[in-house]
Formats: sequence, structure tokens, C-alpha cells
Amino acid sequence: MTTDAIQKQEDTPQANLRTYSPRADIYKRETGYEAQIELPGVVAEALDITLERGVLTVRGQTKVASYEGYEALAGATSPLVYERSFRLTEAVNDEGVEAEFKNGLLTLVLPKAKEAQPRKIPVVLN
Amino acid sequence: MLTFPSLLNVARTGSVARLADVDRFLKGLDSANYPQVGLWANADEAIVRAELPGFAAGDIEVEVEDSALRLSGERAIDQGREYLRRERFSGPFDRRVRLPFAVDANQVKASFSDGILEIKLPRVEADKPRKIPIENK
Repeated sequence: MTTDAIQKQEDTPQANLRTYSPRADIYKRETGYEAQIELPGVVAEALDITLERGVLTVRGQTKVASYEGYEALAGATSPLVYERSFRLTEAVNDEGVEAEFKNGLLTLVLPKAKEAQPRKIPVVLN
Repeated sequence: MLTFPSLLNVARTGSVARLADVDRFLKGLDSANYPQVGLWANADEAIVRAELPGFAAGDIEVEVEDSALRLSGERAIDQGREYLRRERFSGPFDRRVRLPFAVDANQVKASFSDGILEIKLPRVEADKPRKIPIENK
């Protein structure tokens, strides 16, 4: 390994962690959309939701699942980092995005932008 | 990246889906392979961790018989809802996990937090390896 490579790793300590794209369901709601994102093992403090230039990124880190004095047998791998990004179009009012996190499931409520919601046009009869 | 609301293009973080990612993704979607589990053991005890995001403790059934663990339950989906994308497991699941030894069903402890079910299964005393003393003659 070159000195350069070592330097790089020190700069990004999380480079070695496995990153997985979490599963998500997306539903239509009357007033917008709802995304359910699976982040098992992530505690709220280790969950980051950022919204930048129309891109919503969810990133969560789990604790290392290992037990001292126990041998890890088949299937004993858990993701350490979950990350997934969603691009929001103009149809979403990104200032109104709400998040709820419970039992390892993140629910994002994405309201429709005002202009994207169907409007009733009152007809005035003369 | 998923785009709301068109959702036509899917690209994973890092732009290329790795094989491990795809494998993990496909595995957890049939009822006999859900949930994903991890298994640890030493000479005295086995530990099983199952990923059950969105479930509550009361929704999961845990049964133990000799050297097998059975996890079952169901995630009902609201049929009335219109979905644009469905990747999460839904429906009933029934997963059996083979343990490396017989366990004492009365001593099994299970806890659930942050979508992770952790089950500690102590080995049956009679099943533990014994040291056989060698007599000097």
C-alpha cells in the first residue's frame, strides 16, 4: 500500500464500512408521498437525513454486531452503514418533509408542492 | 437514485450495485428466508439476531425445539394504499434457524429493540461437551 492510500483511509475513517442501500416502500398519499425505509439496528442518534439541492439522503450507522467470546457462524453479517438518496422533483414541497423513526423503520412524509396539488376552481355564476 | 414522483430511475449509492448488495436484497424476500439472521455461538450459548424493521415485539412469534429456532409472524399490508415502489417484505414469514446444539427452551431470552430481535439460547446442560478423565492404572 502506498503512503497515499494510507493517507486517504485516515481521511475517511468510514471508507472500510460496508454500505448498503436500504429497502424502501413508497406510497402515494392524498397530499403527497410516503416513503418507508428499513434501517434495522440504527438508533435515532446515528441517523442522518439531509436535504440538499433537491436530493434527500438518508444515512444510518449500526453498531458493530459482535459478541465477545462467541464465534460468528453462517449469516452473521449485518450492514454497518445504510445509505440511500432520493431526488425530489418540483412536485414535492421539500420544506414540508417530515420524518418519524421507530423500530428501525424510517417513515418520511413528503407533501406535494402547492401547485402540484389539485385545486378546485370556484366557478362564479353570473 | 430514486426520483420523486416519477421514480423511474434507480441507481444505488456509489452508482454500481455490488453483488453482495444484490444478494442480500434478493435473499430476504421469500417467506422462508425472512428475516435475515445472524448466528453466534460458543460452547455454552447461541445468539441469534434477526432484522425485523417496522415490527413490534408483540408481532413476532419465537419458538424453540431442541436445536431449532422458529421465527414467525406477518407484516400485513394495507391493500387500499397505492404504492409506487415496494421493496420491503410483506405477508407471513416462517423461518427456521438450525442451532449448533440443543438448547434449553425454558432459559431462552428474547429482546427487541430498533428493529432487531436478539435471542439468547443457552445450551442444554446434558448436551455440553464433557471432559472425560483418564484413569492412571
